[in-house]
Amino acid sequence: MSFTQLEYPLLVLMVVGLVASARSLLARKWIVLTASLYFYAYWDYRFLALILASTGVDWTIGMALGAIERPQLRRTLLAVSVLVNLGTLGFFKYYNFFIESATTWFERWGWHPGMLAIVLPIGISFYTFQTMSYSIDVYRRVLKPSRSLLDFAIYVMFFPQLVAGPIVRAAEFLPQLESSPQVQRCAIYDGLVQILRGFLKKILIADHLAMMVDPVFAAPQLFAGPTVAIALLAYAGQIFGDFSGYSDIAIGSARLLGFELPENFRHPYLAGSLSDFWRRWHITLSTWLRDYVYIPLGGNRLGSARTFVNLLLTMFLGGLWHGAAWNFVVWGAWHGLGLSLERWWRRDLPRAASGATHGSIIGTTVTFAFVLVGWSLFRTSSLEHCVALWSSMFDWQQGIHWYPPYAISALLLLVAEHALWRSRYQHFLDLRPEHPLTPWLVGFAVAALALWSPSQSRPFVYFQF
Amino acid sequence: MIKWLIGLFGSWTILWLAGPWLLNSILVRVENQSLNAITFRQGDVIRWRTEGWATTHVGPAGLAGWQPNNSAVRVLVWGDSQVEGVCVNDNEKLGHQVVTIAGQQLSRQIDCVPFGRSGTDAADWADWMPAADAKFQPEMHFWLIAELADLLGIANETDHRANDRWHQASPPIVAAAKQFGAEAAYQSLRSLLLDPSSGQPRRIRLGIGPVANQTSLLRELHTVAPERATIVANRVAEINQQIGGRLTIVYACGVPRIDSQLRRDHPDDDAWQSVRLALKSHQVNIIDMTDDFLALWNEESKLPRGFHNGIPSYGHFNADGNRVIATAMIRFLKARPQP
Repeated sequence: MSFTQLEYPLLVLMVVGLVASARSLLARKWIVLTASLYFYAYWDYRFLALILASTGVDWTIGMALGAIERPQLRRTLLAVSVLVNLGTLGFFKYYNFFIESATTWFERWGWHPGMLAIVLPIGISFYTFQTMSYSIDVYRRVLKPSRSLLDFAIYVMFFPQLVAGPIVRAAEFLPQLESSPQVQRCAIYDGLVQILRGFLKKILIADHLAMMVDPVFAAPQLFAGPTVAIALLAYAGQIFGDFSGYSDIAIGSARLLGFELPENFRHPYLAGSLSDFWRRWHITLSTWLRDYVYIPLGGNRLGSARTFVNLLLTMFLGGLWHGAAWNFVVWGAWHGLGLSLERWWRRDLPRAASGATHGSIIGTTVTFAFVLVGWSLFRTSSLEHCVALWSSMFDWQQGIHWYPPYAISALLLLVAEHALWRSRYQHFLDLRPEHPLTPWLVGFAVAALALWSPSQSRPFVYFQF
Repeated sequence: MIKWLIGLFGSWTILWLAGPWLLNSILVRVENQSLNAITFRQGDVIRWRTEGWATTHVGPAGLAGWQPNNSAVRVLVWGDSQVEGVCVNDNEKLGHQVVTIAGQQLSRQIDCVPFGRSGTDAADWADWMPAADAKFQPEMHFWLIAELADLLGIANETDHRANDRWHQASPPIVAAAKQFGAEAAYQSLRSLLLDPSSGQPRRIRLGIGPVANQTSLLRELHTVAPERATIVANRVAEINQQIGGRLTIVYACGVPRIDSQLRRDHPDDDAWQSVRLALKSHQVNIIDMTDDFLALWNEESKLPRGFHNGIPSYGHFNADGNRVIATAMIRFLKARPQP
C-alpha cells in the first residue's frame, strides 16, 4: 500500500481510532502489529514469510547474545545474524546483478549460471539494516535484547517506516514501546502537519518534477541544452521531494500513534560541504553506514591513506545498497571520492588555501554542483546514457525546448522553501498552530493538493531500493 | 477555532477569485434535441488550464469552438477530445484550421463542424451520425482516429460501451456550481472522488496482494485478430454505404513519439495494417497521417502532439498537429471530384 493511495489514510485513521479506543497497552501493540502485517501483505502476502523469519532469527539471536557470555560463541551468533540478513538481501537483491556482472569470468571457466526470476521483496534493504543493527548493538552490549517478541516484531515491521525508512535503531524505538502506541491529543496536530508537509513534497513537488524528468532522461539527445540542465535540477528536486516527503509522511503517521521516528532530511541542498551534505541527506542511512561500516573499518584513526580507502569503501557499499546496478555503485564511489578529496583539502592543505567553509555560498554551490553530477550518474542507466545527457546539456542549438510550467513552478517552490528555511522567517514553515498565518497556509496547502495534483501518481523512488 | 475558520475560508476565497487564471472550468452538458445528442451548453466558455492553456467558446449546437458559416460547404469531423480541442484556443482547433486552409487552397468555402466529445469512440459517432447528417447535410464525414482503439470500438455492442458519460446531461448541481463559479470546490471534490487518470470513480482495494499485472492486457490491446479487423471493416463499410460513401477515416496515430529515442513506429502499426487492408477492400476512404507527422518532425523539428504541461509527442494534438491534419484533409478534398 503506497502512502499516496486513498487506502493509506483510511488505514491510518482506522488504526488511530482503534488504538485510541483500546485500553491496555498490549491490545494497542497487537493492533499496530496486525496493521503492519496487513500493510505488508497488501503488497504481496508471500513476502510475509521472509520478514517474519528475519524477525524470528534476529530476536532469538538477540536473546542468546544477551544470555551468553563466551566471546567466541557470541561472535558466532553475530556472524549468523549478519549472514542471514546479508544472505537474504544478497540473494534477493544482488544475485542476478552478480551473475550478470561476472558472466564473462564464469564462462571462461566453462560455467553458465542462469539468471533467476527473483521479485525483490519490498522494503528488504531497510528492514534487514534495522535487524542487523539490533544484533550488532546487542553484541556490543550497547543495547539490552528485547525480551518481548511482540515488541521486536513491531520494531521491525512498524508500518509507517517499513517500506522505505527512516532506518530506526532499536535503541531509539524499543524504549518507546514502554508507553506507545498511544494517541495523544497534543501529537495529533504535529503528526497531521508533518503528513501534510510530506504530501506536498511528494505530490505537488516530486510528482510534478517527475513529469519533466522522465521524458528528458529517457531521451536526452532529443532535448535542447537548457531543457536538459533544468531536468537535471528537477531530478535533484524530485528525489529530495519524493524521499523526504515519504519520510515526513512516515514520521507524521508514527507521531499519530505516539512514536517519534528520527529525522531523515535537513535541507541537504543547503549543505556547505559534502560531509555536511551526508549529515543532512538520508541521515538514518548515512549514520548507519558510519556506525556499522566506516568506524569498524577504522574510520579516520589509521592515517590518511586508510581513511581514504575507508571512505571509498563505505560509500561504495552505500551506493550498492541503493540498487543492484553499476550506476548506483559509480554514484557511491563518486561520493566516496568527493568525501576523500574534501578531507584531504581540509586537513592536508593549509587552512587559508582550503577556501570554502561550511555554509558559505561558495561551499554550498560547489557541494550542490558535485551532488548534481552525482545525481546524473545515479539516474542514468549506463555510462553512454550519462555522456549523452551531458553532451545534450552543452548543446544549446539543437533539440526540443520544453519548459513545463508546473515542473518549473515546483522547482521554484522548492527553492523558495529552502530560502525561507535559511532566513529568519523559518518559523513560517513550522506551521505552529498559534501562528495567525498558519490556518491560511494550511488552507492553501490542502487546496493546492486537491487542485493541482498530477493526474498520474508515481510510486516513491525509494520503493525500488 | 474562529481563526482557523477565517484562514481556511479566506485561502479558498483567494483561490476562487484566482480561478479564471488557474483552474479548469466546469463542463456542463445538455441535451440537444435537434442532434439527438448530449453536447456542451451553447454560449459557455470553457477554460482549460492543465495540459495546454486555452479558452474555448462553445458555439451553436453546443460544439466546441464552432463558428458556423451557412454559405459554405460543410464537412463534419468526428472524434474524441482531440476534435473537441479544448487544449488549444479556438483559432488553433482542427475545425478552424480546416476552414482557414481551405480558404487558402480551395476555390470554395468550407465549414468544418467539429463533433468532438472526450471519451467517445466510433460506436458513439455512428449512433449520432444520422441526426447530424440530416441536420448539416455535409459533403463528407471524417472520423479522426487518434488511437486505433477508437476505431475498434465500432465492433463493440453499443449497450456494452464502457463510457456513457455522453448519454447523460449534467446533473443540475453541476450547472449550479458553474453558475456560482465554484470551480475550486467542484474540482477538489472531483479529484477526491474520481481517479484523475481514468475519470472513473475511485476504487478502494482492501484485499491483500499480489495484484495481477496488466502487461498481457496491454499486449492484447495492440494486436487485432484478423476476424476482428474484418468485423470492424464490415461495420465501417456498412455505415459508409448508408451515407453514400461520404465517410473518410483519418488515421492520426501517435508518431513520432519519444521512447528512449525518437520512435517512428507505433505499437499499433501491425494492427492498423490489418484494419487498413480490410477497409481498403471495402473502398473506404483513408487518410493516413503517419508520413505527414514524420515530415513535420523532419522538416520543422516539431511534434504533432504535446503541450508545455504534457509530455512532448504524447497527449492531445497541438496547434501544429491540427494544422498538419487539416492540411491533409484539404488535400484529400481537393483531390476528389467535386459533387
